[in-house]
Amino acid sequence: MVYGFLLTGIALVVLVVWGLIEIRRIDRIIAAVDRKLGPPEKEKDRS
Amino acid sequence: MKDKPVIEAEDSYLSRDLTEFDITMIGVGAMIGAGIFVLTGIAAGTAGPGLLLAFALNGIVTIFTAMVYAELGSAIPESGGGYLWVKEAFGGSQGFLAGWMSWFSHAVAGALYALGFGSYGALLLKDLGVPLHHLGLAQGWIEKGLAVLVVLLFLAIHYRGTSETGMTGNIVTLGKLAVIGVFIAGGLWRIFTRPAPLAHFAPFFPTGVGSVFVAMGFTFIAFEGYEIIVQAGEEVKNPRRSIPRAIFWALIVVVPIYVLVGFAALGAVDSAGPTWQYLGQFKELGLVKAAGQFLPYGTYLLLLGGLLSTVSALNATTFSSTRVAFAMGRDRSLPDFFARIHAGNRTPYLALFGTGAIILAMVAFIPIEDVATAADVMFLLLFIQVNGAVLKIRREFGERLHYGYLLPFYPAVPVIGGLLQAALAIYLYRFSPKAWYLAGGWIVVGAGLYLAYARGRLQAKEESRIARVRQMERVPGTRGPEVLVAVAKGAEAAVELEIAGALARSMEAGIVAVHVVRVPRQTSPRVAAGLTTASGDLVSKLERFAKNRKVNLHSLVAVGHSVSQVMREVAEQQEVKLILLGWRGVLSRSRIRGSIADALLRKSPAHVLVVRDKGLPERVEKITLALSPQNVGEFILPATVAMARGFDAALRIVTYGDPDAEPLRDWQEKVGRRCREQGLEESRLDLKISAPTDLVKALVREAEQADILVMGASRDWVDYDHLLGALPDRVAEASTKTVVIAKGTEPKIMSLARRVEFYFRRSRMRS
Repeated sequence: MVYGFLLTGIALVVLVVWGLIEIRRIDRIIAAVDRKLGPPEKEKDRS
Repeated sequence: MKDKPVIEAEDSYLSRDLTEFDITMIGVGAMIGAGIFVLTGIAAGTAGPGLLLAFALNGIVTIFTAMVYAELGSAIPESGGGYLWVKEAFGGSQGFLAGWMSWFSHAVAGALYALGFGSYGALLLKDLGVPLHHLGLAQGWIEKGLAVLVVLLFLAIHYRGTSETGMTGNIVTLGKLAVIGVFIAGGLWRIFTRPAPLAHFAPFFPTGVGSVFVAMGFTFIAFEGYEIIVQAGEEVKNPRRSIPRAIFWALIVVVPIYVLVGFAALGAVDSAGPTWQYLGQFKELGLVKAAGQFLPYGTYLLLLGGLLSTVSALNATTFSSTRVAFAMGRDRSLPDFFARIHAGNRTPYLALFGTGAIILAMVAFIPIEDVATAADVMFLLLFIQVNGAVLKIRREFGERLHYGYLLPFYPAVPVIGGLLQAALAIYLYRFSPKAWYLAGGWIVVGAGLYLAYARGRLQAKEESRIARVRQMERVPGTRGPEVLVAVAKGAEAAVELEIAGALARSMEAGIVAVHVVRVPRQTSPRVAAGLTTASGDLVSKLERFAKNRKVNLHSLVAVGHSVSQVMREVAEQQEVKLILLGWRGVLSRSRIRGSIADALLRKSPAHVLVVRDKGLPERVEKITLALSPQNVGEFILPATVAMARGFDAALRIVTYGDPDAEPLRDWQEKVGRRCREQGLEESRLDLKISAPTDLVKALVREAEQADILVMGASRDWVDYDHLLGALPDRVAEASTKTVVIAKGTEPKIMSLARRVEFYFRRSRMRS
């Protein structure tokens, strides 16, 4: 039982921390991509 | 002034009206709720307390594919989700199969939720003492009957195109969260007030560690909220940032809640044998039975939550599977009639009926566990394909796509994600071989259909595949101080257009004339883009108007869910300075409140003029501007002066108060000076101060003597509004002449300051 709870707890912590790290990366990635490709033009669709 | 009119060709514009919060709630709503309500009991019966580990590990497995969805969703935010990307990456048979499986998996998930609804509904009827069993109907038949009924109801709703708005969806999701929250709180209270709180969790793996993997595969459907999030991709504001953030937030919120629900259910229940067996015995009703034990009115509370969850999940899956079928029809993977849109309701009705047929067949003939497992298998196979697609898309298009998110440890993450899902899918055979046969049968039928029918049709489209990945650009030639005017069909000769013409002439600006085609929530604006071609007649009338009035006009047909939202977006995108729109329809309690104009007045990126159209004479000779004594006309004054110059009309500016008071004499001087600065001749200007007893009557009298009366929005008249109702609304209603209500933009902090000022003034007047 102890191992079961321990594994569950570790998996949860890993998930939440990992998710938060990825959220924090998003703005940095956008800035880096914009530096490389230039900012995207405002959206317009001619479907 | 430009003498040669320029007419731009008709353009179409598709609205994006979902915020990051909205799509996070869509993801949370799709995950929390139906999946957890329906599957927890069954999964507890399979894995025992190991269910908690199954939920947590599923979170880890899911985050691999969530990262893939975040990357692709941020770069290609179009409706279609996984299917679209696999098609873009691999095309051909892979693309077809992805769509084929995506359609089926969403439809089967819908069937699962309908069956869940049937079980909850039947239990509720039984608990309420409704004597259905007297009719000779077995409980199972009542459940199936209710499930079929709710499916038919949602088919009818989606066919008609009336559905929940984003706000209603958010409220339903918050309601579900509240029910789950009460369940968790009640369960934790019961567990930790016991002498041996964790006694029910030993042994943790009563059926072996392997059953944890079975439970993981079986409950995987409760973790696929990111597929629903990206389905709404083309309606999300700033999708590059919002989609990946929403995907991760939804996971971070949902997975711990799942673990807590499992913990509360397993730990708080009392039973003769192990609690996991007790929950498993009641299957989809396991959570309801648990709540009935440890919460007052717990059965009813959970039944309410379950009904709410299954209904909203059925709504979402009907919506998404119909969209996939529609997209396949449009791509020529399925017969063209799947892409047909109902002329009146503007919904993809034949795709909907095809989807409905699958859901109904599953509901009627397949047991709930096998339905859930079949949906799981399909989703897992689809996700494996998507993991492959991210590798191909990054290699082929990576240098050109504006990613908002890039997954780390490339290519390890998608490879590991795909392998984990393959393992889970294979493990599910242990739980339900029938589900695998069902899924396999569907794939074999799909492969046959592809070879015999779709392959030839798709080849012609394949050549343009690469070019389709991204096609975004700005409407040309619409920079500068533009005037945006909303044009309704049949209102091409409307006064707002004449006023826009006068303003454009005077300001040497162009007009952007927008006709908004409103589509229901079920229909993506992109999907309905074809509806814009029906507006050709309107456009040619606008062209004639531009030619006659000698103004530059760019016509735009926009497709969206909300007129005010579309107007806001177009105004932002085209960087217009002024928005004009008509205010028609029946006045309710003499209020502009609740109308499209009101929605735009409250939050607009540009100054707004709302025109209460009572007609204009052949030649506009006199315009009156009613300025409140507190206002020297930050925006309203130059706008009205421009209007007077455009019409070549005389301008009277009137305000109310004591003519001998010092502040009003200052006001008169300041306003006169500003008019002259704006280029209005002295001889065309008349300034007037009066002290009427009834302001509404006085303003109506002024309106009657002029061709157009212009006045500020309610906030300029706060002293009067709280006593008499919204002043401009009352004047506009009582007057027989055209009234224009103006509202300038202001910083948020200013708006707050005004509200505080209004509060103090009102208190003072009351005392």
